[in-house]
Amino acid sequence: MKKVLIIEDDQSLYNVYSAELKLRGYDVSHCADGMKAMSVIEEIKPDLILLDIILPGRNGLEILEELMGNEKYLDTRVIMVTNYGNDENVKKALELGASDYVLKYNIVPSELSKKVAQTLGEDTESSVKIME
Amino acid sequence: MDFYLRLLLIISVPFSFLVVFTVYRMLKMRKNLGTVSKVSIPPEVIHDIVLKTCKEYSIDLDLEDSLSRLIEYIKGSISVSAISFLIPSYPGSSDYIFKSHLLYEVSESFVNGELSFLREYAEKNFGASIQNIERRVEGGPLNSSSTAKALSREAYKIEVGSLLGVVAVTSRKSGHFSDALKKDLTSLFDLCSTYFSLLSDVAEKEHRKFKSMVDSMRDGVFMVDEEYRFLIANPSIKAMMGLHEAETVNIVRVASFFSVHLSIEDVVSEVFALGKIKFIGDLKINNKYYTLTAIPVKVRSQVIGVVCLVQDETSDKELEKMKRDFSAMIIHELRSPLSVIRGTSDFLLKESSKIEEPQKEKFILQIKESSDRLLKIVGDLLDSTKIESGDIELFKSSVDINSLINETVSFYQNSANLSGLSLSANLDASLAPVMVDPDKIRQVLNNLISNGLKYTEAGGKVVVSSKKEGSLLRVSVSDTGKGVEDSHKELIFEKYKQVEYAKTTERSTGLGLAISKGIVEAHGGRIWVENNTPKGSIFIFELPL
Repeated sequence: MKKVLIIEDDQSLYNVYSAELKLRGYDVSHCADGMKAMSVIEEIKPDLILLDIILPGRNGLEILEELMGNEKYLDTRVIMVTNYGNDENVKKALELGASDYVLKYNIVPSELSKKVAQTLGEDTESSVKIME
Repeated sequence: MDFYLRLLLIISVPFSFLVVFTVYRMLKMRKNLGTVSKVSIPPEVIHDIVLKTCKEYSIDLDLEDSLSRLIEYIKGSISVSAISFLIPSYPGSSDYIFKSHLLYEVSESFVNGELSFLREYAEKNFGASIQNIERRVEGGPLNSSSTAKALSREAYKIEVGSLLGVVAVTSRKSGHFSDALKKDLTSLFDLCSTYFSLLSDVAEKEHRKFKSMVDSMRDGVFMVDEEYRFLIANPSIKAMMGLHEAETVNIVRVASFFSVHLSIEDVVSEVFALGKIKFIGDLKINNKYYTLTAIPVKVRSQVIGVVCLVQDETSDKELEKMKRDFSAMIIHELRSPLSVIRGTSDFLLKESSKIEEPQKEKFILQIKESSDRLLKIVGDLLDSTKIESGDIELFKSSVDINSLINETVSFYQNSANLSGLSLSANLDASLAPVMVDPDKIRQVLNNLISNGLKYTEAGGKVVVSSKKEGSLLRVSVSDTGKGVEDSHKELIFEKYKQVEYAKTTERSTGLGLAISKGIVEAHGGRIWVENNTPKGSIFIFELPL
């Protein structure tokens, strides 16, 4: 079972994202505090992280930078999930090594779980669609 | 354009004063001038001389020009061979200007004779110490074979303020000057002296007024002529360039100031050439934002100088940026509950069959809570906009403030308990009812109490107190939370300024305190924050009783 860690301080959003991902068969964990994010990652060793940017304690881009600079997490995928859609942030996140950058208001849970599957290389259905 | 009008005003006020003054003097002198039988000068000519010889922007009296113009008229009225003058370049100078207007062909030695005569007169009659002489000869032409000799010559002293000069009127005929003509010329030049002195006084006074006006302007102002010589540079422009008031501004300094963005020489040349105003905005120099407006100064459609206005727009730019940050923050805050509503409802629709009842209920509840949050943000935005535009409306009635506090405290009691916080009221029972808008004051209490609960960790306490302080009602909400840094104590109440601060804290629009401030101030009161001991903060507002 693939492990997904949701770093998100909005409890309601976590509730619905985790419900969706659990239905798709993922092992879902939660962290709501930017300061604790690195220790939670260390402990859980997730395959994929859904990472918010505006977090109490620490900015998501800082967490991403630390994560990507550590060889231990070479195989950890990160999708930025935020409502801050400015180009500068998107560019920075992708440069730092995020696999994707999605806007919360623009994506519903079912689309988010598809992104997760794609990023983890599990979703063959959508790649077939693209080839068609 | 506001500053252009201002400049026009600056130029036109002293100038119109000069014109009025001139006409007044003209009327007064008309009678006197009329008695100068042969060399009478019509008032409109005087008027014209005045206009032409006052440099319209700096309002300096150019005596050389004035005398030359006057001589043009004398030449036409009486028959003479030459009229020459010798004047210092400026009062007290040992540099002199010698100018000879020739009406007939004469030799160089004739002109030299004119100069020697004037020089001798000046040295003898008013102790002139003459070092350098700038020679100018007009008319003629000069012919070395000319044998014309000066057989009659009269000198007339010109006295303008502290400046002393002399005019020579010369004829090739002997005994040319009758007593009557000499008398006429004497009174004419005496009048001119008086007239130019008065004018020079006025010009100087006006110049001082003009200077103090330009000097007091917040905008930087300078004026250059075609050779980039500085005619005006006010203290503001010097301050902008980091110069002391005593230092002089020159084209090199100004050019280096603007060098990152533009060549000031090119701007000035362009305005000289086209005679049109040129505006350049967004000049970021030394971390400040400036605009430059170069305005041609025209005299009879000819550009004689360029006035440059440099305005510091840094604070406008900062406000603009704060407003942009504020909009970005508001958009983010609106999208957060919207994301929950959209995501949760979509999930419920698609997966309804797979979700159990209690979880379903939890999801519906979070949709409702997010809708409430959206509504609150929209309401806060509307309130803050009303406060900003001064449209806040109060519906005052007699209110028992203690009851209002008790109601609000009861409302939050449950959520305080859930967060492990103690919430209590400490009220002054002697308080009489106050005339306030109860809904608005409740809104202030809501904001302060919910903030207190939000920023205080479990185990802490929030206390709401009321007290009579002289003619004021004082309400305070104290907490044992993390407190407010001194540098943030004022800006947390500012709609736009708090954004930078709010970013680093919990999710919130931060509008609550700005709205509270607006409401309290609309009631004629004030609101502020102090440190609580040993930790936390006390938000206090006072209302007149």
